[in-house]
Amino acid sequence: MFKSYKLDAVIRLITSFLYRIILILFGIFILLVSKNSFSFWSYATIFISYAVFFIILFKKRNWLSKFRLLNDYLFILFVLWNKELTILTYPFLLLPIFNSPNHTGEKRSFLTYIFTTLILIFILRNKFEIIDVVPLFFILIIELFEKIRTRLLRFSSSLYNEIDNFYLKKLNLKKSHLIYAEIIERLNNSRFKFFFTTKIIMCFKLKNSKFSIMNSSIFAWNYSIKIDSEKIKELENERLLSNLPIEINFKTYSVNFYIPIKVENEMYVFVYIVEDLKIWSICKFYVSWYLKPLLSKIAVVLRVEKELRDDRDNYIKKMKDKMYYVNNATLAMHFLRNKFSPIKNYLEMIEKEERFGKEKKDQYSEILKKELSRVKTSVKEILDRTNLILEKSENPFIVNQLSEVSLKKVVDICRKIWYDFFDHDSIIFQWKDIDETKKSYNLNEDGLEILITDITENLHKYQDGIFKLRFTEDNDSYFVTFENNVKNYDSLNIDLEKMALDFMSDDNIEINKRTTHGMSMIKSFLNQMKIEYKLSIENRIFLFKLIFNK
Amino acid sequence: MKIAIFENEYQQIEAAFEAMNLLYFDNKLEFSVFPSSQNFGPLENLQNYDIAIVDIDLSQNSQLDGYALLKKIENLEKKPKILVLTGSSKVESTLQEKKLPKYDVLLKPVDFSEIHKSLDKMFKK
Repeated sequence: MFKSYKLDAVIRLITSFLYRIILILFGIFILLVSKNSFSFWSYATIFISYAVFFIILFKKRNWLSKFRLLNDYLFILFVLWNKELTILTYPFLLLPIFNSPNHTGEKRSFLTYIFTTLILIFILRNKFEIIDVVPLFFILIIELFEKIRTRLLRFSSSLYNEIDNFYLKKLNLKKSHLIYAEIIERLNNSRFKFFFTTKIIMCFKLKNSKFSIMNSSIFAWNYSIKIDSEKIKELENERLLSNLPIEINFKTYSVNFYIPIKVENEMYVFVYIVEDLKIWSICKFYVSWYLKPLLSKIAVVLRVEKELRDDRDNYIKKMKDKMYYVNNATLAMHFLRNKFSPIKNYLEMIEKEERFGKEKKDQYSEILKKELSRVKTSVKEILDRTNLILEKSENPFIVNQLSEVSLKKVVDICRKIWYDFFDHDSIIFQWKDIDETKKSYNLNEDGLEILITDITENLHKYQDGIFKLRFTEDNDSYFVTFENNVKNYDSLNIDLEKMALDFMSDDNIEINKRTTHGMSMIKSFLNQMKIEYKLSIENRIFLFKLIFNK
Repeated sequence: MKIAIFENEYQQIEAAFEAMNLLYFDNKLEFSVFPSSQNFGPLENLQNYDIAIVDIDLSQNSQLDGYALLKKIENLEKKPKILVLTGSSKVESTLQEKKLPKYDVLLKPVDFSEIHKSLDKMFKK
């Protein structure tokens, strides 16, 4: 895999080489236009020596790279020997500082300032004027700010990486609170720890002026935030606030930051509880500019987590309904078993009535009569319970909620399920205006997925090397056709052509329910969603066509 | 012969027991029916019975279900023979899971002939 830092290293080496050529050419130019102290051959020796040392030290890293810098300054010193500071010589002296961002080390070397100052002192040794050092001073100030900015950026970047690694490598979704421990450790061990020491990070959701805890670096079994409505309004307007008392686990913390982050319609408020707060204004700048984007990232993850949780809750609710239904059906089976005892016993008693002697007949008849009455009650109870189970509205497997599903979504569902069984080559797509169409249908997405899965599973089970999913159309309709040849067509126990005819007929739905459970379920789903369909067998190819009107 | 029956829906099988008692035992079997575990009183008194028939699903207000009752009976010094009565076909695996012995099981729905066969087998043990 290509690594960007390798490219950066190559660019730095090329820049280093070019910089030295510029330095040599600049030096030659200064010697040509100035009065010089040494002979031509002396300068020639210096230039050659400089080039040779540079080649020797080229590519050297760590402390040897400092000798490369020293080599540069010795060269500059000889070129500027006994020359005055002019508009030509000053930039020549400052060249190494301008080049310092290209140094191979990550940290910029302050040696450039030391060497430059030393040479400057040497040049100005006889006639020092403050104006001569002003440019160097300003460059130093700019460099200082630039250095702080770079460090902050590097620090933020390292925190971003920490978060990325946390979520991506460790797959720590739903354990977001664990990231705070790592952030706190980084913050408290960074160069910026002199701003403040972070003790606790908490995240709250702010809704209807109420704070509800999302997560925290400590387990907050009790918390209380008592701030007035004005402050809440400021937070809602995403204004950073500070030092608003917060009580956690019955301990009050007064030194803190409230950092509001809005993600879509959700408002999250991160509370940084700190100590040793040094300079508030700098801290505010630091928190606003560097920590806020970082926390935004966590807030986005929290938002995604919430959506996942909502999806899961919906799924569990659906599952719960189904489990309840199945459980109820199972209990009903137990109930029925109990209620069948009198019926079973009554039949047994009738069957064996004649086998026993006359002396017991009267007593036997009495028992039989009592059992008959019990049988009648049992039959009624069995019928009541079966009616309850068969009540359609209580069946969660029935598609009873329809919503608008776009044609594109239909394609997406069909294709996604098809890919679970077959590859892309078996899909033939011939819809021409799919990009423009905004056509949608009243369907149930879950129902459609179950339906397509059922059809595709059947197709996969019975196919024998020929299988296609075709999206075709005519002037009036869009067609989605599932087609396959059939394994062991001639030796099948089922008459497929009759089955196809039965499937298309509404005259024997109830009979088919008992014999072809899978197909009758497909038919039931199609009817519930009012999807037109056609099942046929042509040249031994099984064709299942779904029809969507244009 | 005394038989303790722990069953909350005895009326469903009452006629079957009566017919069996009449036809095969000349009404000599004595049945005592307990819809819940606490109706019986001290379980030590089970030593006065030859057989205990235990339904797994006892009444809702029963302190013990059939499995818990069987465990208690297993801990008794003197215990009757046990016949488990149930509507669940998974009872044998559950008994095994709960580390209970492999009892004779009578699966509902039942008729008098089946009850007779089970009891007859137990008497011969």
